[in-house]
This record gives sequence, structure tokens and C-alpha cells, in this order.
Amino acid sequence: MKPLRTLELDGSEPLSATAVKAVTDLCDRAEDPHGHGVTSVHVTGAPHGDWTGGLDVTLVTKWERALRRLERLPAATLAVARGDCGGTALDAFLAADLRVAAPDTRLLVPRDATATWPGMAGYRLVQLAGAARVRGAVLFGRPIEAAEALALGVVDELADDPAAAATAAADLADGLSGKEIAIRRQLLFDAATTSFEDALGAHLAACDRTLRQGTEEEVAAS
Amino acid sequence: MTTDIAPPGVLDGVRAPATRRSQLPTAPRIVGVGTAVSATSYSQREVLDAFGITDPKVRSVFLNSAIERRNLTLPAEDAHGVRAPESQGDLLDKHKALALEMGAEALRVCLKSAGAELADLRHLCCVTSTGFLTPGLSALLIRELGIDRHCGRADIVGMGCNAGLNALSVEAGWAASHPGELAVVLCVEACSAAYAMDSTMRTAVVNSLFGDGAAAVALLAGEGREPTAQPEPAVLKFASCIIPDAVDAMRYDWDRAQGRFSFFLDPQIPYVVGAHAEIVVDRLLDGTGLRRSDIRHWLVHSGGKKVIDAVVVNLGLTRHDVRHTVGVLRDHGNVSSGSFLFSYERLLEEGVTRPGEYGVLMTMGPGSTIETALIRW
Repeated sequence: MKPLRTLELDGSEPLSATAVKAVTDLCDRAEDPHGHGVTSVHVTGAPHGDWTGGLDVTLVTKWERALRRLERLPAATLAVARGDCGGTALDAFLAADLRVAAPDTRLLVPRDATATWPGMAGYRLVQLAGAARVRGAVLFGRPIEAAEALALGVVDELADDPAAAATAAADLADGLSGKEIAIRRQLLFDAATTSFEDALGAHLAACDRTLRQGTEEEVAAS
Repeated sequence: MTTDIAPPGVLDGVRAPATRRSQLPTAPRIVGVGTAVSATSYSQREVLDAFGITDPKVRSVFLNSAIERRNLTLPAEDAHGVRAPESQGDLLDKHKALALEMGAEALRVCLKSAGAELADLRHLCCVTSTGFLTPGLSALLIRELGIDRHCGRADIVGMGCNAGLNALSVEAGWAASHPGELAVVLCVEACSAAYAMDSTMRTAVVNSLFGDGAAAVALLAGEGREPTAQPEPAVLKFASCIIPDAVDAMRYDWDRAQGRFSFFLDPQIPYVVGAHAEIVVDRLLDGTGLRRSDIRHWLVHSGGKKVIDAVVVNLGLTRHDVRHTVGVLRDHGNVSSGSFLFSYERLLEEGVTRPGEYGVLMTMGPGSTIETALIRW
């Protein structure tokens, strides 16, 4: 297996240009043409106090854009969580393909009496688990404990030794083309929002892509 | 082939956007765009009913095309309400009339958006594949509109849906070598003048797809232009890929049985285009230091539902990336060479482009060919 490209994100730190750059740099490394492998983020920490001070919507836009790029990378992505995870830690965790958590993990969406800060974490939670099952968390800031996150499918695996579990999870992607993973992932995302008729064309195009690869290999071999 | 418009060294710095703009004295900028359509728009069902088409297979092709409306100029009904297909001579007349009407309108709108007058026009490149004219459309428009008789001109005829970018490449080269002089590419396709009716699926597919439309884009190189409310993108580079194995897959040639021109689209063509999309985009970005994920705006030809799907999958795009491509197809059908400019116009109307952002323009057509251009706001 190729070495992991890893980023550590501390959710207790306010969202900053540094965090945006860290995710962007990780994506750059993942897109560099040096074969495939797994890109991973290790996250922990949740914001407290006045964590929105100094933020503006331009920076938030850049953050969401960086996360979206992470979510669509031409590589398998893995996230490992421990302890309380909120803010940037939760955002990045939910964007990954494979999500492993230590048993002490709690996923924390913002709870504010007088304001709304959904972030796209709320959106991703709904995509992963459905609106009904994350309603309490999104509306009332009820923490999602590790066992519940596992039951919801928001976490794929609970592990006392997240590092070992991460290695095992990464083996799942071993040898797979990152580009093809990205195509399958996009078809998966679209499946939730696209009618069968609208999705069919993209699936056929993906089939054709595979069939052509077979033909090219035959030509190369003959 | 690939063509760099930017002078040597300029593309080396494209990852440091915005700050480099002042160092691009000759890379032309897109300073205006305009579109026009013919007078009447029809839903797919209205077209089927107008020609009394009842074959369920043909109706299904029309109704599952991801096209809601198209602008068409249909033959008049006779006393019995029947629209008899026109002769090739009538079609050529129709092409000429529609091309002049739509072309003039698109050119006017384009010049207005560029803050320019007809008198500012120094070079005009007209593109059409839906009819043959000699003198060419550029000459007819110069006479019709009273454009300066010394305006330089060129006509690109018969290159098909991709030709808008072939013309942009030529015109960008002209603009780059004539700083301060306004150049316009004008794509005019009277697709209502390029149909053939029989009971085959070949004609059904073609007749379900195309609509009338014209689009113009204005280019200007050099400094000294007043800053505009919206940033104006610079045209940096072009890359092309022809697929000679698929030379017969898209063609507009003479049908002896019908005594007229007829367009042929191989059912495999969306996949052939999709399979080559990555090659040409990689070539376009090669040497620029840009990754595909650095491209914020994709303006892909609205060729048809299947070809859009194939490009989306093979380039790893989202539905959002092709929202205008899909929207233009839905509202106008495939308007051939000018389609990507309809998308460009919609992108500008959104007001979302920011200085330093990159865009890729992409068209595909007979050859079979894929044409691309890299632009930077």
C-alpha cells in the first residue's frame, strides 16, 4: 500500500485561512501525479466561546470550497476522529469516504440560542443518515455519541486503536484507481438527487469508459 | 495541436493570477457577447404535432431529448394544415434570410455589451454550417449593416458544432496581433434550414435536436480599456483533438434519395467524444501549472443529453459545472457552433465570476473533433 497523505485538524481552533490552506495543500498533494493511495484526515476538538469572531462569509466560502474539493478528490479519503469533534473537525470528518472513530468520539454540531450556523456539516449529516435521524442534532445541538454515529452510518467503524483501523480501512482502497473512485463517488452523490432516467446516461458513459479500457488493453496486448 | 496566445513565459505564471494581468499586453480579452434566436419557439410536442409524427419511437426520441423548447422556422401550413417539407433551394433561401436576421441581431447585442459601435469593428469572422453562401455571410452582413468596407473578414463554413472555438482561435490570433482593434466571431446556425424528413431514426434524431441560434463574441487585446463592472477574461490557450477513426460519425452530406443535404449522427458519438475529453483537456492544461480542479467554470457545447453525460463522467464534472450547458440545451436545443456562447452569456448573467478564476470552453463536432480553450478572468 502507498503511504498515506495525512492532515491533522483541530476543531477547537476557529476556522482560519490556515485551515483552508492546510486542506488545499492536502488536496494538491493528493492530485499530484504520483500514483494513487489514500488521503487521510485526523480530527479532534470542538469550538468553544466566541469562535466566529473574525470570520467573514468569504473565508467560509473558501473553506466550504476546499472541503468540497476534499470530498471529490481523485483518491480514496479516510477520516479518523477522537474525542469531541465539531467545527472544522466535524466538517472534514463528514467529507471523507471512510470514517473511523475512537469510542470516546462525540460529533457536535453548533448549538447557539440566538443564531444559526448550519455549515454544510448539517447537509452532509442528512445525506449520510437522513433528516429524521439527525434532526435532534441539527436543531437542538444534541451531541451524536460514537455508538449512535455508528448506528446511523455516519461512522463506519469504532476502534480502540484508530491507527490500526485506519490502516485496515485504507487497505480497502489499495490498488484502486483514484480517478475511477471519483467517478463512482460522483454517481453515488448524484443517485440521491437524480431521477433514474437522468442518471442512466451518466452510468452508461461510465460503462463505456470501462469497455474502452478493455478494448485498449486488448489492442495493446495484440 | 495546441496554441498559446499568451506570450512566452506568461503561462508559466498562471498559478499566480490577478497580479499577472498587467503583464499580458497581447493576450486578447473577451469584451462582449451577444445571442439571438429566430422568432418562434416550439415545444417538442408542438414540433411532433406540426408534422403529424405519430411513430411512437420517433416521438420518444423527441420527448426524451432533455430539450423543452427550440426556436425553429417551420414551413407554412397549406390549406389542409399540412406542412410540406421544403426543397433544398427553399432551405438555402431560408438559411440566408435567417442567418442575416439572427446574425445582425447577435452582432448588435454583442457590440452593445462590449460598449462598442459597428464602426469600431475591425475584423469579423463568421461561422455557419447550416447553409452555403457565396459571397459569404461576412460580406452580406457588411453590406446589410453598413459596416466599414475595410473591415477584415473571414468565413468558416461547414466545420459544424465545434467551429465556434476554431473561429475563436483564429480571431484571438488576429486580435493578439492587432492590439486595440476589435475582432468579432459570429456563429450563425439556421438549423431549420438543415433538416430532412423520412421515416428513419437517423433523421428523427437530428430533427429532434437542433434549434436556430446565433451568437457573437468580441475580442480586444492591449491596454487602455476602461475598467468594466464585470471582469473580462483573457484568452490564454487552445487545444484540439481530432479523432480520424470517427471521421464518418458526424457528417452533413448529400442524400441522393432525398435530393438534399442530410445530417448523420452515429449513435456511438457521445461515447467517442467522452472517451477523448480527458486527453484534450489534459493537453490544454499541460504546461500551465493548472490542475483540472483549478478550473472554476466549464462552458461545454450543448451537443445533446448523452454527450453532456459522457463529458461530465469522463472529466469528473458535477451537474452544477454543466448547469448552463444543460440549461441552454433545455431552452434552445443544440444551436450548433454558437451553443457554448449561449452558456457563456448565462454565466456572465449570474455574476459569479471573479478575477483570477479560470474557465475552459469546450466544443465538439464533425471530424470527429474536440476543441478547447483556456480563459482567465
